[in-house]
Amino acid sequence: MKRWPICWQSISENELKKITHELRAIVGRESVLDDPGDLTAYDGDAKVRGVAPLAVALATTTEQVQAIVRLCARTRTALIPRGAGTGVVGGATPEADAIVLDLSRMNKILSIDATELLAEVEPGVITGDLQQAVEKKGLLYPPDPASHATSTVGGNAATNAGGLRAVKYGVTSDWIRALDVVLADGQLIHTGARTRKSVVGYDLTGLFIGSEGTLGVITGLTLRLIPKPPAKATLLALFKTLPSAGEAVQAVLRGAVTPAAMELMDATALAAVREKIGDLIPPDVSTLLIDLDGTPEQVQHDGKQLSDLLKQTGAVDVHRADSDDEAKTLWSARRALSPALYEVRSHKVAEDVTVPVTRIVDLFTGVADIAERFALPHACYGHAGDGNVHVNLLYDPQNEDETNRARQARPEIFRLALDLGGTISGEHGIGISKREFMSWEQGPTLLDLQRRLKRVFDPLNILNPGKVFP
Amino acid sequence: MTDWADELRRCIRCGACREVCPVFLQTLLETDVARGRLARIERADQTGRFTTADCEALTLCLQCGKCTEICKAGVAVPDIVRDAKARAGCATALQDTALAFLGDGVAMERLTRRARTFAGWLTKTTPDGSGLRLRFALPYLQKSRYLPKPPDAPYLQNHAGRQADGEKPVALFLGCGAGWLLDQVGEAMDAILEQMNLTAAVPEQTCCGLPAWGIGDVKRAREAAINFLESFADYPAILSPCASCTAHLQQHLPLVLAGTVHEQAARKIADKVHDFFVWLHQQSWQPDLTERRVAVHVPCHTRRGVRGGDALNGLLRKAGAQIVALDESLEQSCCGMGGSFGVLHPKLSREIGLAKVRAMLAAEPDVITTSCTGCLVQLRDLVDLHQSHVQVVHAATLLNG
Repeated sequence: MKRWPICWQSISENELKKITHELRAIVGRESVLDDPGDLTAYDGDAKVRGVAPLAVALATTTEQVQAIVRLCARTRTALIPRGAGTGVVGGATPEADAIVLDLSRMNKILSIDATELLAEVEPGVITGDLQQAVEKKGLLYPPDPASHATSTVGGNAATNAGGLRAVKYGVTSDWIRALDVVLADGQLIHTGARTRKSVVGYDLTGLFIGSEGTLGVITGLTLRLIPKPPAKATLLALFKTLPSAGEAVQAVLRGAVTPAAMELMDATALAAVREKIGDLIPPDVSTLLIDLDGTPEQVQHDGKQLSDLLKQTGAVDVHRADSDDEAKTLWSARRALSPALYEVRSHKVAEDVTVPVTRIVDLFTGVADIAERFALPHACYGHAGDGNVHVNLLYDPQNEDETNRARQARPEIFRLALDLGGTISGEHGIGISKREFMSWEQGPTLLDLQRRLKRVFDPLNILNPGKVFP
Repeated sequence: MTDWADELRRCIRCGACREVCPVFLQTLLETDVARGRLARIERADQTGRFTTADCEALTLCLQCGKCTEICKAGVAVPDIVRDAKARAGCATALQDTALAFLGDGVAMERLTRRARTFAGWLTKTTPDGSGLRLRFALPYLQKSRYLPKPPDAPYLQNHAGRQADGEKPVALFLGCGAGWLLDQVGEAMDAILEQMNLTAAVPEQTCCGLPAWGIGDVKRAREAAINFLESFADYPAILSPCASCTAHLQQHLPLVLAGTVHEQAARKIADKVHDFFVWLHQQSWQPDLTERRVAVHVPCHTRRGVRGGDALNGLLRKAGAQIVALDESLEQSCCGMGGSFGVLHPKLSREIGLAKVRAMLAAEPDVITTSCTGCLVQLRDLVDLHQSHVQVVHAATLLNG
């Protein structure tokens, strides 16, 4: 399907001067960047680099966002909303002439209501800052993507980010009640409701979540909170083989105890951190790392029940930590993993495919096959509790042959995930780098319906044009 | 010079640096955080030139090293930025003049004498008498900016040339702050060493070269390094009260002199330089600060440069002092000075340090202390802005009691 014509209209130098002048009038001189050296910092996200934008505007109010969108609509300029730029699929990456709207400075937590269990925030609030702020009031905002110390709540919403705790607490969309969204013509709407129940009209909140900035600009979020579980425990179970670990995952999920996190690491991944973890984990085992939370009695009880269950399903050893310090030791291998991979190779194909939990072991072994066929070092680890596995194929960009092999191996991972009844993206989104694979997962009618939806919301195609759809 | 191109490529732009960069956390501009800086440098390398805007942006790095610490790939951002500044020729005329002074003992002596004369009509004394405030703005200096009071006789003017005495022949490297301005620091070190029956040698000395190195003026940094080598090569232990100088002499000296005939000597002498407090902690000397409530600022250079890291907290605990607890992130935060950063970007510099000083003052300490003269001046400025009378003293002075 062809892109419609207005997309990526190029902007003349004269027009650009007028546009930046107007941007300055809207957000102030200091909040517009147009020096080429400054702009180059905005040419990509955490993975995909494109071209430098024409200008960057940093908004601090919804009114400013509205004015900027109106300006872009009038001048037919592409507008790319950006949070912390920690995405990995190019969702915030400019591909041609575009203005980047950086929302980092809209970072106020407007209210935290401990009775209604709600927080009202601006989109640029750092997820980790919000978590700390609500925890001070005895509350919990559970979504915790790996980048939570830097990523923004607005960015999490725009990509429907997941995280470690998804097995128990779900993903970002499960925690958003209502949104303020600036539409492509600059009008402001409020979707959803503050109440625990609401079935009025279509679920537009759900539609904007995960839309990657293609349907509107989120300028306010009403988030759901829960009382913070007072106690935590961590279990580390060792298994002789990967399939026995996989069976244990299924047994745990069938059981009465839902873990707050359940991470699976296979022997290949653990080999990468061998030096860092000492003798905590012997060689040639696969591990399950499980977090539990709840009241102290509950955690005590669940911990016992779960370790019995793990032993019954074939765990050769189960370590248990009740203090934060002990838990830290058990988590040390998992935390050391990501940095350690950089020491093996400086770059990686890192995909977030997700499969039914019954097929996780097949995914691990399938990826090992692919890695072997393309002669690439690899490591799989991930959120076993929800079937979301981080598949890493490592390569050195200086080595042309290896880089090519990594490039060729990538589609095979997607094919594998789909063959196993899974999906090509569990939490990263589509952006630029996965759009060519959209049609592998979704049929033409479904894709066409979504494109028509996009046209309804953004007839001029100015909001993050070209993203998501092939 | 080291080729940083490979190092540059190792940045995968994950953005983890956004969590910790003190400058970014104020401006929230991608261009002020490590990955943005590296993108800028990469672009300049591709286009073959650094623009004036590039130079200005590169000076917006505190060189605190927090980004490298959190970086999964451990990219040496401060080194890359410093090298870029050198290649770009970022030093301004004013910095150039300042560096010329720092490298010349006689000029420094004359300068402090002049400063005493001018101080009267440019500034007024702060309420606690520890320093001066500018009556009006000067180039690079905000109105009301705190400046240390030039002493009647700078420590180096009084003591340079002194020979060592006692069983261990140690030598003092003061650094410009303690050598020319804060004369109490050197005096306190002397008093502490005297309690151990030691008199330290004070060889003729100039600047350690860090300011030149930080700006990218390799020529001047080398001159300073060679001066240092010539004066100090014969001493088995060289003690410095300033974390920044110590970190520079320990970590950078071999880099500064890489490829010259002095490289080997630089490596050797770097091992003999000790942070005064790390050294003190290894001695049997026992200070007494029982019941004093102390707020401690550990300089970034101590955390991520000085061999042995932070010994000051240990010393203070050993002395029985009560150390006020700060939030972990504030505890580790930068004071905002960053050498020339504080001069070139005074407003931002203050904003960076303000939260920490505010938290320190809220804990109602008897005294605030640190082990770097740059940090000390910054902390005094910020404490004074709060119109607080809490004393800010160098750790050597504090330990001397």
